[in-house]
Amino acid sequence: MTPSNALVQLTDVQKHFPIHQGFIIRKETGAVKAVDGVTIAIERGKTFGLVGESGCGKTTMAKLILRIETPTAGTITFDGKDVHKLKGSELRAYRETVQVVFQDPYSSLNPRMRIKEIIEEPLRTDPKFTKEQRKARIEELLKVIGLRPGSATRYPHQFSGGQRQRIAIARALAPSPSFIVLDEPVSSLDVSIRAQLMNLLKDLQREFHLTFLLISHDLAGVRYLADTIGVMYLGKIVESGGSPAVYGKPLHPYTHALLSNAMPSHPNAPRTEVILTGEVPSPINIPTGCRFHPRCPKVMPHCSKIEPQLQEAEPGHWVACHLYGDTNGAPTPKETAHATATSTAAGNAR
Amino acid sequence: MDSKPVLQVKDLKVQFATRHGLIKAVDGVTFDLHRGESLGIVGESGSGKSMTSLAVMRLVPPPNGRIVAGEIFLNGENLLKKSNSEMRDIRGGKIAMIFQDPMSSLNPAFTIGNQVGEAVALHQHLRGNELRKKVINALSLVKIPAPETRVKSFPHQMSGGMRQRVVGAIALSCEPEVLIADEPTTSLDVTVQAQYLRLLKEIQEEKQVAIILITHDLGIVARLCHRVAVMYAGRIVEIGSTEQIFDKPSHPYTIALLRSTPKLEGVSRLDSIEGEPPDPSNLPDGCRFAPRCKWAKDKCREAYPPRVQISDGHWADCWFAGDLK
Repeated sequence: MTPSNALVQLTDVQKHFPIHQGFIIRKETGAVKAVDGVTIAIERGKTFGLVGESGCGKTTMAKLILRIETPTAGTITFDGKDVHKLKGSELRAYRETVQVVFQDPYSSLNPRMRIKEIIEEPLRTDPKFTKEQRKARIEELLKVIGLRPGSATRYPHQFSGGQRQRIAIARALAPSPSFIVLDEPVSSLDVSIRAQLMNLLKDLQREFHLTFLLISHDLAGVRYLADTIGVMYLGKIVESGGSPAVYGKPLHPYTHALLSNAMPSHPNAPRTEVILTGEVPSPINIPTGCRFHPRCPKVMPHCSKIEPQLQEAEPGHWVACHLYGDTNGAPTPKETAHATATSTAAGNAR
Repeated sequence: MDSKPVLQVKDLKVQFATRHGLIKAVDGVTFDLHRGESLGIVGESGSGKSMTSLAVMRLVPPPNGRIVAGEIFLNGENLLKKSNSEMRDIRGGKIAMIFQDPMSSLNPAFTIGNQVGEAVALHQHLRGNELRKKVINALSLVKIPAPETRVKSFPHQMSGGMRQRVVGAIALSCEPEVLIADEPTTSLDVTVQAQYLRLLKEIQEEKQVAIILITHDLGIVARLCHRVAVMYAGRIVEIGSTEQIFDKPSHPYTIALLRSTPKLEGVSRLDSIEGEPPDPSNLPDGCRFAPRCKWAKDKCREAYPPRVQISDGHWADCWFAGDLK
């Protein structure tokens, strides 16, 4: 999984949040393993869609890339540089290059700031911009996102949800980033507004050569926007690949279940419903072996003992499941990361 | 399905008096619901779908909100003529409701058994062991594992999906004839949502309860409902069987909505609906969707369109219904 044109590369990234107990003598009694060994590459100019249920570590991963959290282990590189080792001017530049759009535009915009102040804020730290240039940039951005120039002097409460999300996108675009994290960008909006926003994001990507990390649980929406998909379950990527491949021929039983549980687009749409029992286990007590085995409809005896590693079942289509390939001789995660660049069909599909 | 509907709503109007003027939240809604049938009411926030269901329960928030016109018949009896105490017997007894967020619809300070039992004790006047048995029955109906021990649990000890099942158990405990589910799965994850919808469907087939499912997700409707009513700005703009609506959508809003929904099979470009829903205190004259409709003509902006029959049981409010492509 190391395409040559990867903009963001995560290698075996872990983030464990320690749990402390006791009041006077505080002891570490465990850890929430939010992200537990993730290796992904986000290609330049493409959209990487990260799907999974709540609590699977999607947002923590975004925070690690944004340098809001520090990883417990592993490295994150951006354009070849280790993100968590950046200092001084390089770090400042990184903070401009990488932006984020949050889920809820009702809480991500300051109600006491005018729209122009909101969009201007990320530019104010940049000495390159004079006051006039900033003003011009605000007007330009409002045009790009499809709001009237007169909107600049108004406050967030005077806008609808969809317009607010446009403003949040304008703010993210202000410092001319190359990478934007979109954390559930449309899920708080009305159905008729979602398509507008998704089309806007697509257009912006093409116009400004942006790279997106799209986090969502809406499988159909991710299918529309993303070029590559990573399916996450309890802190691990269980399947990844190009979106036509993953949606057209899901390999992991969890992906299968997710897709079959997504709502159909027609009442008579053919479906083979895989109903999973139970809910996602707690990330404090991750099941042994394959973390999906307690809910897996295709569970085998050794699934609870040996943890499957991500392997290339088909060119560019990766899956971590014992159903595919020879798992006893499965390479360790490190080997996988190296092997990927050279070998094309490491594990044959069954 | 019986010929005689369990629930009939006729020309229902709900209005709110606010500082910004009169808001017509529901403006002439008519539909009926049969035994064992599920009707999906689809619409955006502010389209009046939740207010319609609250009106059926006679729970429109006073003093600003008021049902100003219309009739609601439950088994032929007009609910709008009932006294408050009669309504209290009907609510939770004959008509029950499942709300969106189980976190806020369950009381964190009482056990599950207590909360399910409250409704049963009130409506069926049971006590002691009989009550306990009934509560356990209700919990096992919604497939909560080990209901005998779960009755002593508190809401925080359960997962989101389990909590929503408890809410379902409360609603179903008194064997209602009509169940209103207002976005019951919005706060749940995909796999849990599928479990819950399947459970609702099973219970419906077993108990023949009539369900009104309020949602903004056409996919949920496609999976669960027999009929669909599409609401826009306080009115039902199209109603018909689920197949009719999906195969031959006839109101421009329904057409646009279906075209703007991303699909799992993938599409190259979504046809988005431009603009925003109208301000409910300042509704446009004529068709309410006209400002966003790409087929709109002058006639659409002048007068509200008639209800046009497309086929048996399939109606749409549009001047050009049936001729749109």
